[in-house]
Amino acid sequence: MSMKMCRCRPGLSCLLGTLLSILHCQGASAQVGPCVPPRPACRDYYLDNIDYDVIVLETIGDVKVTPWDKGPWRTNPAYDCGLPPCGEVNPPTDPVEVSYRRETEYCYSVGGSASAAGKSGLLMSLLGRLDVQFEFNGEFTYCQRRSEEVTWSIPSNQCFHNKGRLNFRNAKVSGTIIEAAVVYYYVCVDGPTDEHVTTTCGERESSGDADRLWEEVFQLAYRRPSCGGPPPNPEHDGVFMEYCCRTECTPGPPCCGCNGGG
Amino acid sequence: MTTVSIVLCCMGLIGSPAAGPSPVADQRTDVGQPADIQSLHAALAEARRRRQTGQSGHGDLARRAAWQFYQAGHPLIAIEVLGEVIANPESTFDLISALRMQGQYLRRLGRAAEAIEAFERLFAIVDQHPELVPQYALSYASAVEQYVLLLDAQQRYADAAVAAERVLGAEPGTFDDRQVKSLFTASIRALERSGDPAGALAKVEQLLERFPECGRDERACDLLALRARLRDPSRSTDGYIAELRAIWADPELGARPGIVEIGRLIADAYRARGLLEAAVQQDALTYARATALLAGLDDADPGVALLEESQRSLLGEMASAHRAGRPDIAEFALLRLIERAPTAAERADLEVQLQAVRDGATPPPP
Repeated sequence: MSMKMCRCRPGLSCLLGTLLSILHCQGASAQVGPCVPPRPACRDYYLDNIDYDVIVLETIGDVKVTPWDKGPWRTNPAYDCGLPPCGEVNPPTDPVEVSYRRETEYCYSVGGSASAAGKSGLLMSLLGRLDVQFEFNGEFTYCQRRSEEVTWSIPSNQCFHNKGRLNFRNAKVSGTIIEAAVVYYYVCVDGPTDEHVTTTCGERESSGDADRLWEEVFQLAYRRPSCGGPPPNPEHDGVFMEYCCRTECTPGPPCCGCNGGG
Repeated sequence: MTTVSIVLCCMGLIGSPAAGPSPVADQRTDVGQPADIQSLHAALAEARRRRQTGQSGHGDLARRAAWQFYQAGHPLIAIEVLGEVIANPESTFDLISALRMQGQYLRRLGRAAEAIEAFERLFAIVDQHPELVPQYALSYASAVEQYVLLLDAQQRYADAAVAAERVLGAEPGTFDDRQVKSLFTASIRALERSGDPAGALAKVEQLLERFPECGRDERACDLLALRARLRDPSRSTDGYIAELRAIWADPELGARPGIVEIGRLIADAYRARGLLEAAVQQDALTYARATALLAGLDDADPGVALLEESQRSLLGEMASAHRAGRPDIAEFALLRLIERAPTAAERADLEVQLQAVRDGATPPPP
């Protein structure tokens, strides 16, 4: 840029603006190398002020809790289906262990052209929204693994096939940041009234998202109410412990355990 | 208790990066030449010399040096330099710019209270000089947005909504459209969370009126679903379902990954009304839509993970569709779950379930 580009009407503000223009148009900025925003489209203008490192926008979306990811029902078969002599019960079998399928505690990914400072700031906003304690490790794509595997047990039962499953859901959030390295605030003076014009350079954008395990529930199926179970839980999707004799519990002759009820 | 629930929310506040590696450590200025630390100290010394000798330009030099110290991984020096500018501003602009930058850097360091204080000082000055707002609209809106985010993080939703009005209440054209849209989003969320759904709905309508493209772009499904929810918090009326179905049927919106969430919401509404067969049928349609969308995406597309997760979740729901009178949907889902089963034991269990569906062995209702 040169002085010729920075014409303006005489006056104190013009003088100051011109000084700033000279400072930034002609080399003072070169020692540290910021970019130079374009001049305005008007013919006569002056550079009024300069700002640095402006976050043009930072949008963080709503936290979305995903629908339940329902695991398959796992079954531990009745261990002594049949009618043993009263007073004799075979020992229970081992519980069935349902191991954790979900391995990640939280994940994030931020891509795009924003500065590292801008990206890490976006990450902080995203993870803050998810209430994740976070210490930046220099990586913009990362998954925190769970430190230990969790296992749930489905106990064995004499007369009922016992069922259990693990459900989980995540929370997700996404966001965008646009930053401008340098902002020039010009005043165009060739019209009847002064017009303020803003130009930027070094405008860069990054987007990212983060998710975390939000809730996990291990469900054990109930007995049917007709078999002495509690009221059905609608979250069990109609699944109950199954009586191993494939008959209703009552009435009828017992087929399992001394009284047929297990 | 046969159900064990672990709620993993609210584990703590965001950590301060100051305690660990700096979020900007080892970074260089991203625009132009790398800033070596010696030249930055030299620039800072020059700014201080000019200030002491009463020469002009010291505020600008100092703010620029602060920015580059920050970019170079020295946020504390940057904040200190900005503090010097704030203590001895060369102009009102110098002061408000330094306060914005200081608030920004303090916020990035997790020092929320100090950041809020810096932004509030800035607003107090601008309130005394409202003519500065249109002059430096980009920087001012930046400060407002960051302030709103800080208040939101502190769950001060009503205050956040009020603060957003600094930009949203201005004449159209005063601020950058991107900033206005972003603050609309923040305001809508804040109003909803502050217990003012009518206010939030009004803001959604204002946003759509002022920026109609927001009802068509890649985030439109979210926004339109939010509008439907704000109109009917019960999420189950005929009007709510009709509104969602209109989004679902829109060919342009239907090509966006967000349409899968609309399908889920329709199914949820049917379930809330006890229309289980309609719900599982919608789940099947949503699964098909997700599959079709996936076919059109590159593996690297960020939408892939979202759609695959939705597919998995839908299959889990559809696996019990026989209880809603749709064994065909249950069989379809179980076959796909068997293909995906990670262990032989899971596969065996799913095969038992599949056989039960095929045998029509739906247990009698309780």
